[in-house]
Amino acid sequence: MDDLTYDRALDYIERSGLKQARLLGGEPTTHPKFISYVQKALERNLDIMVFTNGLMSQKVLNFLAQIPAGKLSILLNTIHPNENNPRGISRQKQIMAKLAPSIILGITIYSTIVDLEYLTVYLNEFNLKKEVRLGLAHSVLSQQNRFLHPKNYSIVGRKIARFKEEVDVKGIKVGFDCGFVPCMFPPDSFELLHEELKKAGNCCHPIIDMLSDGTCISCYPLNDLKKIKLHSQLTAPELIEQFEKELRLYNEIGIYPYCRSCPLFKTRCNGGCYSFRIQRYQNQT
Amino acid sequence: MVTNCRFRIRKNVHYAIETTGVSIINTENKHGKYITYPEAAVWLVLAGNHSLTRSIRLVTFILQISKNETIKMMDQLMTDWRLESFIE
Repeated sequence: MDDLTYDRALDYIERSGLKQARLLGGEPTTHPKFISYVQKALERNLDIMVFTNGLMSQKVLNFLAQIPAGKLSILLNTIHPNENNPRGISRQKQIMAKLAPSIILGITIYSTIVDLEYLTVYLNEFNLKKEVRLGLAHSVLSQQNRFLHPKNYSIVGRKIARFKEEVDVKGIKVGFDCGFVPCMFPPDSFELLHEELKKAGNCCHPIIDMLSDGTCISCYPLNDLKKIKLHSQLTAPELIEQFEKELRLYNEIGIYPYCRSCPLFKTRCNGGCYSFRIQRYQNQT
Repeated sequence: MVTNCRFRIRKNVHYAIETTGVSIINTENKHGKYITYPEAAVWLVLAGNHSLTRSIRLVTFILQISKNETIKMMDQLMTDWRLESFIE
């Protein structure tokens, strides 16, 4: 993203009455102007949230470390120990040590071979915020990315429920990103996950991502569905409305063929990630 | 004989198979419809690109109705779907 587009993005954030600039990528910290872009946002008195894998340069790390914790949130997408990436994990630990007050640990789950216990080890070792964000890797419409297929949700759901049981007694909060569906969890964990599920089942909606060329998309998985060019009057609520209008057509089904028959459909669950729902439509003729 | 025998799904029309029916959407005019069985069975057989004779035979067998009833039903449904811009 060039300077002009970035400035326009900040204008849009201010115009929309938002208080936070969220920088994501790819890996935003590797952008050559990352530091100056963060400074620009801070000058406008915006809070900063950086979505990062933590593999940032020492210069960027030192820069982020001097930002007051209240102004900066780092959502650190952790490398799972199964990934056999000791150098990456070692670097992430340095980030955790240096930016501890700003860090929220997270993981994007794309495989069923995922145990989450290592997150609590990090929380204790680096005295981090007692909160972890769990995300599911959703498929882009072209399916050209690594994602967790909905048929595997129940395997992951069982693991998350077990994890939640363990961390609850330690006072650690578990937050869900978009696309979680209640039926992925064992029914006996519904009470335990009550708070998370209240939001989870209905949380697939446009979040508005801005691409480097200044066009806006509903979210990363729906990158190919619709793009809207930002102009000087457009605000977040207007963009959300336009994307919601586009997505309305896909509200009648869920990610599974049996969603419509589920008593939770359209009450406690909107049917899961739109990208998967859209991919269920075909035209064979 | 089925009078509206040509079944070709329009370019911007897509469908998803559900346990209780078929969801059809037209992304051009943003119109959508949910059809339940037995109509959904007719849609799916026709979408299978079989010959007309085979389609009639399949629907007759699946719905356990007579050949004449099948032809009448297919005829009516295709007229409706054409009017709704789902098929050409």
